[in-house]
Amino acid sequence: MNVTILLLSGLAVGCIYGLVAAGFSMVYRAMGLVNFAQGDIMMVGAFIGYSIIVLGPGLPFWLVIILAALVTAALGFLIERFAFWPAVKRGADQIYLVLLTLGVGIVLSNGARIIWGANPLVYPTPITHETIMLANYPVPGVYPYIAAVMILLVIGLQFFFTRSWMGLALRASADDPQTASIMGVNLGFASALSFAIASGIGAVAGVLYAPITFASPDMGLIGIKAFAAAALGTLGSIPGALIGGLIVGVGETIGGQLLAPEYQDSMAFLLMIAILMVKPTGLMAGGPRT
Amino acid sequence: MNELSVPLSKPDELPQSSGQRRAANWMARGDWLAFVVLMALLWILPLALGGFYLYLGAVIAIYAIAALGLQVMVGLAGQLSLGHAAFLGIGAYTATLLEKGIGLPFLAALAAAGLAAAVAGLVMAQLIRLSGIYFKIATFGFGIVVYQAMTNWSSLTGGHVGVRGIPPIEIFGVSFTTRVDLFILEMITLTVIYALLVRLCHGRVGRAFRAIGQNEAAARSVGIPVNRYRMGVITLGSGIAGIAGAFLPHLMRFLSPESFTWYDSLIMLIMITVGGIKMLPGAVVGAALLTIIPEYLRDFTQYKMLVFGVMLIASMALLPEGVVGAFDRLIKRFVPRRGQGS
Repeated sequence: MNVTILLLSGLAVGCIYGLVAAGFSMVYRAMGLVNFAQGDIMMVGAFIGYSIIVLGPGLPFWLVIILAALVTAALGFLIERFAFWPAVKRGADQIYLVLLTLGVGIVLSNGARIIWGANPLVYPTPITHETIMLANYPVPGVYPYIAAVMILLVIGLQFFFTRSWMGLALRASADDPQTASIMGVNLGFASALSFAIASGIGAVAGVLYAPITFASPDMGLIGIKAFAAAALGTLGSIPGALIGGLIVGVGETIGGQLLAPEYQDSMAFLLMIAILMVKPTGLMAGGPRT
Repeated sequence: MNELSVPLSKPDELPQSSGQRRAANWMARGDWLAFVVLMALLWILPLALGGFYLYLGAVIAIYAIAALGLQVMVGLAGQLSLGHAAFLGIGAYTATLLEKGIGLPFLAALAAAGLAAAVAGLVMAQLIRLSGIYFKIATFGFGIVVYQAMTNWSSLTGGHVGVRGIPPIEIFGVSFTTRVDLFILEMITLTVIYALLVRLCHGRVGRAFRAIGQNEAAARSVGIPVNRYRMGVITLGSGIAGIAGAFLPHLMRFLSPESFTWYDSLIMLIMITVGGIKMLPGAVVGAALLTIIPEYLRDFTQYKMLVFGVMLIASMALLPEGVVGAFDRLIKRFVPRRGQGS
């Protein structure tokens, strides 16, 4: 195996982890909720993308990504409203909240199994089979999309959170709920919106990931590596989550190849534990609030 | 909700009012009563009904032991573990490999299983220096690492293929081969562990666990060595899971990593939540419910996890104190008592 190719596939997978991790971090920061359903939301997003491709075969891939993100964001909004917000609002303890997100995750992954079937689905779109030549090596055709989406999302989120009123309101209500609510921010809506955006980003990750692997109900399990990514990049920090995702992606691909490919999943957690032992609050400045 | 369900007990050093002592006694009495009722049911019903019910009883006993360990960890001391199945697995593999490999007698293998899982728990407990939420994610990671080791370390564990030909149980030259024998051995173990845990929970250590579970900072401020207790409870819960695990291959006559996946950790968490988190009897009731219900959903196997997920959410929304808590409330309505109830 060539190092360049390994690095490239590590970075691509890392981007996916980073995106899911960013959603995970956003929700944590906005609601203090460790959302173990984030990976399952990504999985639902991938299936919604599949259905969109089936319903509208001619749609360009970038439009599929956007539509899937919107539909999943709406779904996330509803999940937040009906499942999580009531519990967060009455100040339920951490264990209760974690169990609740686990429950929602189980319902999502098994619900998807019933709707879309248990077998992995291949995206019926040319991008699944296309390869492009990069430095004389064939790489999956979806890689440029991943790179482009990653760059656009980083710029977009940065702009959203620092320039737009809504983004500022979300950050304000995450950092100081009381003051924000005095300033006229509707806290309930703000956290639902954060959750919806996180779900949308998760769906983007799912749709981008599906052509590399398949869309399957067990796909949500890559969400667990996203947790490791979010944790080592400091929970609550979006840039940290993205960087953490890249570290986990590259680390497990190269580490797995060098040491033992069958232990790839463990690699992510060992990496996380090692980094947290040295820097207990993750790589970014500041720690989690709780 | 938190403050209501379990009154915050103070450590022994502080003076207790007689009212508090009476409340504590009443709590202990409730737990012992539940212990007697549950153990009686679980001893008698499978033996009386026999056949398939005996098998169900044997499964319930194993998971009840493991869930009790988890309940002490999560429900009482508030140390959420998302990788409990790993310790069940460590126990199962330790016992089986020792019995099969070097012909160790069952009791020694059982002790070794508990010990191995406890040591693994102690290793995981070192991670408590990571702050709260990171520790939860690390326990999850621990479960994944152990599962991958079980699947991939084929020379030791047999990998995905698993281990067949589990030797029969032999204690002091007497072999226990029938299912009734196995059930009785399991139930003795369960009864002893359950009784010890009830005692533990109403003593000084149990009060310290509960104080940590409710408010770590407050517990530290009244002089409880929080970190030592946290490590202790994780080691204890893991060790108990290891003992439960040692029985599993004898019942299934087969051992494979697939019994110790992330879903199995999840199911044990659902057990203690549905049964009643923070309450020891909740673990036993939850283990029984989650073992029996799927048997009546045989035609809908693919919906099993969906049903569990819905059960988890529904019980959290409708019965936040679980089945045992709801039952407790029902009894209290008819039997009024003075002082704070449990």
